Amino acid sequence: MKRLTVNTFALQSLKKRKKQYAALVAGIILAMVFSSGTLFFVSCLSASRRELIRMEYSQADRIAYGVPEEGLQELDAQKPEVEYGLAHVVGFGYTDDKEKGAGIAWMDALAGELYYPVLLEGRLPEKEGEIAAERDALLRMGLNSLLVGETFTLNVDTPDGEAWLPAAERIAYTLVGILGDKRCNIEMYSWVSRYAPAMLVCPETQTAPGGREALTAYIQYPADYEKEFRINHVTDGFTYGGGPSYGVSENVSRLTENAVFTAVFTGVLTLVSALGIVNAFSSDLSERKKQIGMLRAVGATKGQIVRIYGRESLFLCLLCAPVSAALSYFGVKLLTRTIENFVFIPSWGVLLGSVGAGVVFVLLASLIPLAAAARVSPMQAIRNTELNRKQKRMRISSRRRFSMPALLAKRNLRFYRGRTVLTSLILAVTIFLSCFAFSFLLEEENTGLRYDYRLSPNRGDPGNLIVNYTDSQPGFSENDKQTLLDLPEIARVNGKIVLKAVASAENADDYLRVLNYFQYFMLFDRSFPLTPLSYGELDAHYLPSWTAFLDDLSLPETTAMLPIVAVEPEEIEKLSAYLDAGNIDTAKLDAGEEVVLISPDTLNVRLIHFTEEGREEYWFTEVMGGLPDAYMQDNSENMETVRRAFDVGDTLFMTVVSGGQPADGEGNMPVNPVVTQKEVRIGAVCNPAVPLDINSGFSNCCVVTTTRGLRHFSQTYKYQTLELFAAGEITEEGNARIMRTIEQITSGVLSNVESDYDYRQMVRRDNRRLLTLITAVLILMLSVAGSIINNALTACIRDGKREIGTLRAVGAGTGELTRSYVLELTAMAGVGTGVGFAAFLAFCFGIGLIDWLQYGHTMPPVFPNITLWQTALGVLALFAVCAVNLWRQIRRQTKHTVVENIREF
Amino acid sequence: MTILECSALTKEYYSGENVIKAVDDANLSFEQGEFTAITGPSGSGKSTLLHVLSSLENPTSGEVIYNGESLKKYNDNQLSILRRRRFGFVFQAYNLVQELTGMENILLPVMLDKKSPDEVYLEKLVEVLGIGDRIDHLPSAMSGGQQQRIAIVRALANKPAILFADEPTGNLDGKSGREVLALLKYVSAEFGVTLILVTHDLNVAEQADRVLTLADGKVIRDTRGAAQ
Repeated sequence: MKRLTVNTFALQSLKKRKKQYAALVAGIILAMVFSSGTLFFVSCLSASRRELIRMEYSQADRIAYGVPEEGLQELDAQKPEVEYGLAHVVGFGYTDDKEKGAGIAWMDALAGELYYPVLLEGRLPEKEGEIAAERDALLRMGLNSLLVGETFTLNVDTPDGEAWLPAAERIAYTLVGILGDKRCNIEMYSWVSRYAPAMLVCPETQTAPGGREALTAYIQYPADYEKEFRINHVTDGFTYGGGPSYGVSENVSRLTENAVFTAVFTGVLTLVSALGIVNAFSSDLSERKKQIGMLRAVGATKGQIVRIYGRESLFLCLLCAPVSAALSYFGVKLLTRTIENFVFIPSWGVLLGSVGAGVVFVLLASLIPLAAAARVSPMQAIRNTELNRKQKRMRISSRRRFSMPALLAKRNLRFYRGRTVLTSLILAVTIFLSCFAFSFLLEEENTGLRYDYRLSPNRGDPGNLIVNYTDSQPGFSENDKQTLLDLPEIARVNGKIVLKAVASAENADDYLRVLNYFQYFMLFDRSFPLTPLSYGELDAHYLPSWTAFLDDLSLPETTAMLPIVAVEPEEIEKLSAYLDAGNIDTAKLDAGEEVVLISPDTLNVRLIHFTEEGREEYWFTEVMGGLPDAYMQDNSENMETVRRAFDVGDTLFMTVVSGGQPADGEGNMPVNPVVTQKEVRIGAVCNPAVPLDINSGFSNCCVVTTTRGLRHFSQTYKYQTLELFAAGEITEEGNARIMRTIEQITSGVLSNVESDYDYRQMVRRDNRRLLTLITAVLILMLSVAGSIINNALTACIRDGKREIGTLRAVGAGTGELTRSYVLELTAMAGVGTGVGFAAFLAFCFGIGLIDWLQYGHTMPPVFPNITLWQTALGVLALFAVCAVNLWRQIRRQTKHTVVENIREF
Repeated sequence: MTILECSALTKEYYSGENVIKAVDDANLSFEQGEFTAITGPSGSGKSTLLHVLSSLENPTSGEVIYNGESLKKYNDNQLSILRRRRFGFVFQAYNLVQELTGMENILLPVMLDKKSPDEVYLEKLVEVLGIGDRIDHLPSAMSGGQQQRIAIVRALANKPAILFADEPTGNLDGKSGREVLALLKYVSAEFGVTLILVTHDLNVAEQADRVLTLADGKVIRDTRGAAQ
């Protein structure tokens, strides 16, 4: 005789209930794919991120250029914790322009590993005379048309250990490989030396006679080394001993942004699918309630019930695991294809582990209904006394007039409130996320860049915030602007110049003084006593260099930094909307007689004393004006408030210092300084809510004039940005022509070129991918919500078979029965739908409301274009599917005779 | 006057290869206001005959004629309307809708018919059946006897022509059973309702005007005047 064990019982049950389990298996696979897929995706994301950083920057934590002997000793002293490899720089190669070259080096094993060359084409050099170069280095040297295998000649400057030999060598190389960019990527965020290699030669290559190789170190810190420092290693400065500079590659940040968005969505889906699993198991178990009751009646303990049905779940999970693993793998692979710059590096261990976690996740989800089923007493299970107990707890009053469908639907919703709440919750979350996603994506699609193209140097002006180094300032000339204007596709070019300047004015001492506090780090020695401190005492702690600067130029003590922003007359006119006083007279601005002053009517500054890592310091914070009184009172300690002291007609004494950059470092007075001092009349005063591209962002306070007007302060200062506006729709050919001109102009200046054409193309492409993804996700979420509603109603109809028979016996037709369940469905779906849409709208407008309550001025809703119709369509589809299923279920029941409905077994 | 009749009425069930004739060629007619008891041993087809006569089940062959009209012509919807207006049912297991109170259960056929309830009539019924204090409770808060009384009032709520009762006292104790039966007889006489009742209890059958005895689906005896 066969022994009946938990396993055989579970297996037999699985065999017999194949049909009933089909839906459950689909649900389990879905839940496992979501849960394991999320984990697998996160692991792939982090691997991809690491790989992308390696490919784009290198694997080093820090790169030190031109490391001297002492530097090497210092590094050696930190061994073995700190490891480093050396790039032996044998030269700096270029074609015509010395500025547009790159370091030539060979690397030792570890440096090679840390540099992590990405071969796009060809191979690494193996013998002398061969060279592999980064794509960007070839482009910079004008050699981008060079093919692998071709020979070319470079001018090579040779290092001598300290500097460079005066004469360049002419050396011929054969290009054997093209490498992925690194040097230019690093340069986007950090200063890069001529010792930065972007061309590799074979090991042991010697320098030209008389030279001595320079060393660039690729340094790697141990995992636990200065933890905080390590975490940000991607954004560290890449200079030896240099301070950190911040910023991450756009690719990496965009990847992270998209991936985080996707991960959040998948995470929500996992939770929803968990609810789906709980629900699917619940309805499965409730269908088998009588069987559980029988087992309990013949002596099965709660533990045995959990084991028997739990074993079934385990078998189901194990059956589903391989399918889920395959789906997770291909799903994530497919998903990552939609994310730009994603390097798909699967980890089999993680995949298997995540599927294991998926199994555990499903088992845990199934444990909830299992535990509930086991708690039921045998007779409760057989008789379904659960409803009776619920009914006894509720106060029901009789209706003398009613519509049977409506009354029954209402009562069912009341008796099964838990189910309604769960469904509503899932639907509400689905709808909220869906509205958010669609509004977010469509907003991105609608908002292109304000301009069609924008050119700006990728480094700021040298020096400090006081003096202008005219000779070393990066930017674009009047000629550049004119060349762009000559293009038939371009209708208008807006140039913008920000000139550093200082200002003084009569009767405005306090305002100007407070303005200077915002430049606390630049203007004060920060050595003043910690407590107590008055603003008056603070004035004694201006840096000597600032005081000297004022003395040299005979400027009054209360002179403040106040930059001059010059924009085109069309842009100036935009300021009219923000005028607090006066009129904008472009002719007077052009003539240099007048300026427009952007300045807040109240300046609040707060001195905060803080302690960090044993360090005590003061810090200034700028506090926006117009805050509620309560806030101002709560934060009144050390707060100084000044009101705007300027009015239309007042005179500003502007001083602009220009000249050559001194050799002894930035921040000092220029060589042969040219001091322009000019009295200007304030023609108009604007509040600082002006568009950000006009506001200099400098304490919300600046002087604005036209580009023509600026020439009264500096003839030579270059445009820091040029914004191009097209005459009409830009075609692909037009874009190519414009880009060629832009490349010519920017070849002399390391520049950021933003193209609305490219941006729109990219956004459109990205959005299309994301929209597909989100639509798929929305369908999945709605499916889960739909399956929960369907399960609930199907169970309700099956459980209510006898009741359907009774109703039919007393004269209810299929129409009345269907209406009753459709009403129940409408109520179940309606609550969640209403809450979801209401929550989203509240979110959109709530932020504006908070802003209005706090600051007294309104803000537009979070999304300018709130789009709800896609979600509404999804919900309608869900409703239709549920209604069809309902109709089918009711039809199935009414196909039977009334007696068959009523019969107990 | 004949209100319900059937001719060559047959109902077959299939159990695997076997065909079971639950009702075998029944030819019967029922007079208005008459109390008929259908009796016989278990499995003789009593309940099936009642279900087929009352349109709760379709016959395999033969026809049921109500008021001179064959029910064969009726579609599902028309049968529903017929049940709600002209027939009343009392089941052994009461079959009240659990989510509705006693009163709501009573009003169910009236509300389904979208009519205003005849409150005087219903109040009289409630009073006669002695359930005035329970009608605002849910069935789960009532005893079996009380639930069956509610079921009787529900069956009579639309003033039906025929009241079908399937073992109405089967689930009740002796006293409650006797009371329910007396009430059924009383209301059928009082309101002129034809009562067709299935029972295996001979004491119940004895009180009917006419007793039909079934065995193996066939009517083997048709006795009138047994109660007298």
